[in-house]
Amino acid sequence: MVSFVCVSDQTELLPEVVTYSRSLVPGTRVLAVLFSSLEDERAAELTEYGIDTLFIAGVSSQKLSSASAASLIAQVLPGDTEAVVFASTKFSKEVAARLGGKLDAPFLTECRSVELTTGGAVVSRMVLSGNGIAKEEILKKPFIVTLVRGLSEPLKLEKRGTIKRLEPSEESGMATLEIRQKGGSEVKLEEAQRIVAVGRGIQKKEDLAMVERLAKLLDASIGCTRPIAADLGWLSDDQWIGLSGHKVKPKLYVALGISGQVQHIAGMRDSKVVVAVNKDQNAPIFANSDYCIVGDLYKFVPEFIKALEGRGAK
Amino acid sequence: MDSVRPDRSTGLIALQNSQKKFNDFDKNALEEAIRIREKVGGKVTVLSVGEPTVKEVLKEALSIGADEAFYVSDPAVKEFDSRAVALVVSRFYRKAGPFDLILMGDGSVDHYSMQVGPRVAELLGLPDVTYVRKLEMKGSSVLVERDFEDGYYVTEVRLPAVITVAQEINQPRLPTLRSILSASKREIKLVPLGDLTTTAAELMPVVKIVETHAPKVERRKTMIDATNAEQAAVELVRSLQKEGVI
Repeated sequence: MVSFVCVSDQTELLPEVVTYSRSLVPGTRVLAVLFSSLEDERAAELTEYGIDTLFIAGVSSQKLSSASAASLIAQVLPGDTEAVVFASTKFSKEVAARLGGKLDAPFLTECRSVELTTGGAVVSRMVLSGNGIAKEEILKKPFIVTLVRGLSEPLKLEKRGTIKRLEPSEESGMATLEIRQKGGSEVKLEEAQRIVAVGRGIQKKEDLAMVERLAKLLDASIGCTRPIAADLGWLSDDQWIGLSGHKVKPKLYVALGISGQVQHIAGMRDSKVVVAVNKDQNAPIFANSDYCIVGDLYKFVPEFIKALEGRGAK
Repeated sequence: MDSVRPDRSTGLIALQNSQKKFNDFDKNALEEAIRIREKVGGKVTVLSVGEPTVKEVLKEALSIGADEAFYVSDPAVKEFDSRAVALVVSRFYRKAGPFDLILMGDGSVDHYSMQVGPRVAELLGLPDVTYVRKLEMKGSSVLVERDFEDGYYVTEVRLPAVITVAQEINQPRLPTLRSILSASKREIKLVPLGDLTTTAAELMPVVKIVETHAPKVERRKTMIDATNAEQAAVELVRSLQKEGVI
């Protein structure tokens, strides 16, 4: 028999990771490590997704250091471990990498599919700032992966597993002094249904008033490219969409004066309907758009606003 | 990585043809190292691992302000995977270090596997912090602000430590014509695997790229001419209503 060890620091992501792992080898044993506090009854319910033993290393508002977290996982890893499968969170990725160093194991992030082979696995994942999907072969077991979200619909089994609580050893070398809330936009961009995003095509900060008006009419959140937040400071870092900023998937994405650099595309690729307004008909954003408005945004946006206002009157 | 062009017929991307470029995220790490040196003194050493063409990247690093540059390359190792790079970096630390800080980008733009930093830290038994968007030296420790989903974590880390930085931490400076000229005369030293007590066999990849495809873009690319802005806007609103997104 083989075992999979599933890990998450967000309780709600554990079921899908467990379900996906179970689908790889029918009847396999799944152990899970949760880095979040959870009371007994909810923990017992969580094991119904097919977890034989659930290890909980609950740390209320703080995060463990990656060193401590990786040590805890290594301690509970059975000898027949096929793979350690992490949910895709920032904490997970760091801990997974650290565990890779500890076990001298292969590790790949953001896998979209995993197929087991005799000596390892073949996985597919996004590379090149989202411009390529690579098929990669893992040549060693056990291996470590993080899975992109939504790979499987969580499936419950009839029975419950056991729960064990892990005590992390005291942290050395680092201490978190404060957690600052992310301010700015009321709606998290990741969860926004509609987004109006601006790029360098906006000439001055005052012109954002027009964009705000449009966003309000569309009931949309406002996002931007890197230069608008990082270089010009017209909008906050919380609003930056791209490879190392937010990755969004709204129903509607309106790109105003955005040329469409690969790093930006990587952040908005999963949007349902994309509208782009740009003067340059060769702007790369158009290759990633459903509606390509070739023209001056300063002429188009006021008309767009007018047309949306007219919509209510009809 | 803005020059990637997939082959139209197969959708395959030939990586060997795309030019080696200084990773944007590592430029932020170098910039941060130079800023620390400007404030508290010290020396900035840059290390690159891979094909001999990485020397070009190191030349650029010297012209931007690094004090010394090393590279690790070996004809017997065709590809260094993240595990191998981490192994080499940790051995280099033991040989040429200790250093107070190991700085790198959160991930590479090409592969974005985001693992070399924590791996190196584990191999050396050092603390690591990732997603760092602000950094301040405090004597024998460093105060960082990290970007997590649920907030910005302000964390104090004892030195030596491994720190990986986010792009937003700074705006990297550009080299000047004079600094480029003077950098071109400086030595970039090759570190043989033997000096790092490792072998090509130990660095054999545990992960191999089989192929890279362009993702399918299923966008309709409906062109709307906005010469008449009013007409274009009405047309767009009608289409978006039909789609049910507004």
